[in-house]
Amino acid sequence: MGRRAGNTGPSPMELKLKSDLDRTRRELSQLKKAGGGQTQREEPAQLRGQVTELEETRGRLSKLYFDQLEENRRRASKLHEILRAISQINADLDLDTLLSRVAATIQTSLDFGVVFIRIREPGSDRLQAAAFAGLAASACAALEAEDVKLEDFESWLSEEFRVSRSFFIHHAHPLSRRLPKGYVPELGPREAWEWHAEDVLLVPLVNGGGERIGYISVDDPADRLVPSHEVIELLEIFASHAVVAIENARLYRQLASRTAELEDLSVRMKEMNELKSNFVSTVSHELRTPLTAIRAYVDTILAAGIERLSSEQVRQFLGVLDEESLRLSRLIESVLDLSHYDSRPARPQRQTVDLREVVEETASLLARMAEAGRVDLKVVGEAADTHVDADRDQMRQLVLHLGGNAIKFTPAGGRVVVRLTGDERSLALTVEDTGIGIPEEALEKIFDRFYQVDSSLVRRFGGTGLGLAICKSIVEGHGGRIRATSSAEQGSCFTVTVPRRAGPVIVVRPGSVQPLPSEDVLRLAVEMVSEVMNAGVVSLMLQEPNGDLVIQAAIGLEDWVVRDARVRPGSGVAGWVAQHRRPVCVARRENELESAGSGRSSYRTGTYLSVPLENENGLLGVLNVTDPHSQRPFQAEDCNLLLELAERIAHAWQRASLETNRSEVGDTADALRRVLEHLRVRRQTAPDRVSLAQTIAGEMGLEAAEIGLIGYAATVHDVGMAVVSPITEKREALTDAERREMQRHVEIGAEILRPLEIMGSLHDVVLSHHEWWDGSGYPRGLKGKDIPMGARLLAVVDAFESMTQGRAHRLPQSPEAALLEIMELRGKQFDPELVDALARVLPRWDAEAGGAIPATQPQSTLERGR
Amino acid sequence: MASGKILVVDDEIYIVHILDFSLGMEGYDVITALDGEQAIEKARNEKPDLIVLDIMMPKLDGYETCKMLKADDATRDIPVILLSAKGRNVDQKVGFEVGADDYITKPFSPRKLVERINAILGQTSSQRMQA
Repeated sequence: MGRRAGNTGPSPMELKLKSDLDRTRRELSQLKKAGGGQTQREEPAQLRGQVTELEETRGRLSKLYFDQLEENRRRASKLHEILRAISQINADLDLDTLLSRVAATIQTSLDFGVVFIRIREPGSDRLQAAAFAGLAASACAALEAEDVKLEDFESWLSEEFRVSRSFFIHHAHPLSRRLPKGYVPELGPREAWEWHAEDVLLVPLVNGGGERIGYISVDDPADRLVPSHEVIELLEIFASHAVVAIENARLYRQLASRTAELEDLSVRMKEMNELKSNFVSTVSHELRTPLTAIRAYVDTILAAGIERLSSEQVRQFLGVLDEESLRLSRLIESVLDLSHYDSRPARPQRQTVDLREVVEETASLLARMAEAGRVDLKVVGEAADTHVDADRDQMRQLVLHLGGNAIKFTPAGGRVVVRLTGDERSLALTVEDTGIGIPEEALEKIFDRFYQVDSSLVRRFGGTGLGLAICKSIVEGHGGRIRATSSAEQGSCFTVTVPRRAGPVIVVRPGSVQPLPSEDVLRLAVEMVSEVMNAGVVSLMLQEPNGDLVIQAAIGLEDWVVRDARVRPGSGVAGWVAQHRRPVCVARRENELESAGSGRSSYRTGTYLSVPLENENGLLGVLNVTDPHSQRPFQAEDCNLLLELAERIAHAWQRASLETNRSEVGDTADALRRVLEHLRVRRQTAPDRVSLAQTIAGEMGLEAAEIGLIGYAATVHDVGMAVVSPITEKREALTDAERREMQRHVEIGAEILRPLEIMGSLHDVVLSHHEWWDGSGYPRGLKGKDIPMGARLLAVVDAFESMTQGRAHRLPQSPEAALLEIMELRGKQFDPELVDALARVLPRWDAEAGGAIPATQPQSTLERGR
Repeated sequence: MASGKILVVDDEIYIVHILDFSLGMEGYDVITALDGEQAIEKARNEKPDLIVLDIMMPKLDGYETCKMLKADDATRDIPVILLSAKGRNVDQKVGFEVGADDYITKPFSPRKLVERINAILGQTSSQRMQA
């Protein structure tokens, strides 16, 4: 029976049946007609036998014929059913329901045990399982877990498999075994031309533009036969209707989300408008109040005539005019301040600030005010370390506002205490008074603009009602928090907490192309980049399914920049990097990150590094670094170093997003955390060490990738020291046992770093950086060129650094003296070639470290053979 | 010289002072209150001839105060001039709905206020004579 795919179908067989039947009918009637003449010549018995035989054949054939007619009628009704199902498909606008309906309809109307559909999102290069019929939950999960790359899918659609517009991959073909099926249909024993467990039938979903947007795969046919041409064509009809329906559903979804966005926007606009008009009416009221007094007094003086007023009255009136005009100008300044914070959300100009110093400076200003109000002002510093990365001017303004407020609202004889406390992560400033306090119901509102618990207080205390709103802006700009506690009549307490360092901003977004690692890993990754690159601004951009880049984690950028920045593929530096998957190093850059809805500049310095972030599944996004603390433009070495970091982040990303293995996620975060701690302890010397190591590597003519790796190794190779550091801090000489313990740091370090490495080269470098050229080093006693180049190089750089910086119980030496000492160990502890290279680069390197800026190109792209 | 007792109500002490001074120069007897509650009390006890009432005040605002004054037989007939930074028609309407007799927007000239007071008191006194 011709039910194989590729056959022309059953209709010729039907024709043959019909013609057989007709022929027997004809023969039979001829026989009957000729009956009279023939019976005389032939044996009647023989003739009767022939007639019986022919009549039996006729009976059999007509049964077959009517069976076939019945079959055709059944098929027609099935077709009818299918057409009805199709019209239902087109009415569905929810993609998931729609696809499930397609799968279920194919299953029931075309009699397949298993149907599943994969589709891809527009712009994506992966096909994801979207609907199933006839599969157990575990099989569905397996299919959902594994995406199919578009290029793989297209490679399966070879001409040799083509049947109509579909593709049948026979189980005997080796490809059929390689295709990820995700489940095994239970078909039992099979015979020739029956459907086989490894047979694959793919019906591509092709849209009007000829794009393959997915496929339908069927399995386990009820008749246990390879589907006929006819069935395949029916599947294709389903497929083409499904495509139209999918595209409709997508358009509808887009439209719905746009509508929702617009609605959101209009609600927000309405709120903004309300806020604005509230603000305007409050400001105008606040401005009119002093103005009213001024006008009333001037008018009265003019009406009365100044000569009719006593000098006491004149003095009193002028006093009021003076005070009210001052109030007016204070108010205008506050409004301007506030609009300044509102319109320029540029991040604070952060530098390391000793907050104690700021508080003490400000306290001397406040002291006069306190004295006048007979309030006792006290500053208490309880934090051991009062340094914080902050904007000095804004901090001063903050302390002035809070301190001034406290004094103002504290009656004579009261006391105001300004206190600094803190822990490793943050610093807290508390301003406590014994003043009039704030009613509980007002505590939430005092940070609102123009909110004063009692507006007559404005009069009495000369506030503007904007002070606390400004404080709040400042504190939030620093990523901190401000809150107030009070019981009326008992005094108030304002507490400001600011993180010591600008913390990373993490945005969790749905709809990423690849699974996301934990927030922890993202945070650690950007912090690590910021430390290694010694840069103030780091952003990790992720590619969305439509190709746009959005910031997932960033350090040193305002929240709103992180949330709103969106770079189209191919536009801007990051877009170029994503499109070409090549790094860019911009020595000077005057303009800014392209960000949606704003043309404001986001960066202070004009130098910029941007590298692609990729793993084996493709592009994850882009890693950007700018604002180096050194203020020097980034160079090729920095770019190579960043590429090393990007490689490790991409690797960590992949490890950390493997949800199946919790311990790996923990390891990865842990490795990042330990590297970060190490970097923070060593941050003073790291930039010099990295630049010296890379300069020597360049002098040795190493390849860019190797130079990058050495730069990275120079920053992290001693990460194991933290574990053994109590010993290294000892003043007296180490015992043998202690020395052995100390030497373990190389193995410990290599182990800590392992989760971040794909290949073993860094591992080898870290493990071998205490080996000696003559073979007397540790841990393995390697000799000469058996020691990896990076390790030999780090040995020289480490020695030079420890001699010039002075470690343990040695005083710092001059670079010249250090070089002489290293040269003495040439060929013993150190590689002779590297010692020579150090001697050659040292004069030049000094100059570089001193801040000489080499000639720069306006924008250069750096490529690296990897 | 005019004569009569005027109650000035405002939470802004400087405004109270200057009105005390200018109305005093005009010959009026001025009593003052710094909020609405005080104003109602003084209006009942001291029976002023006219009340100058600020609208934007904490606790009991000028509208409420005015309504209460107009609802009380003892103070119903005392004319009220509202004083406020708000200068929109809506406010004026509300002002008249609560029963105020006149309305002046801040910033204002005390001379103009005096003119209005003179007008109202002249009017009411002539009405009283007719009655």
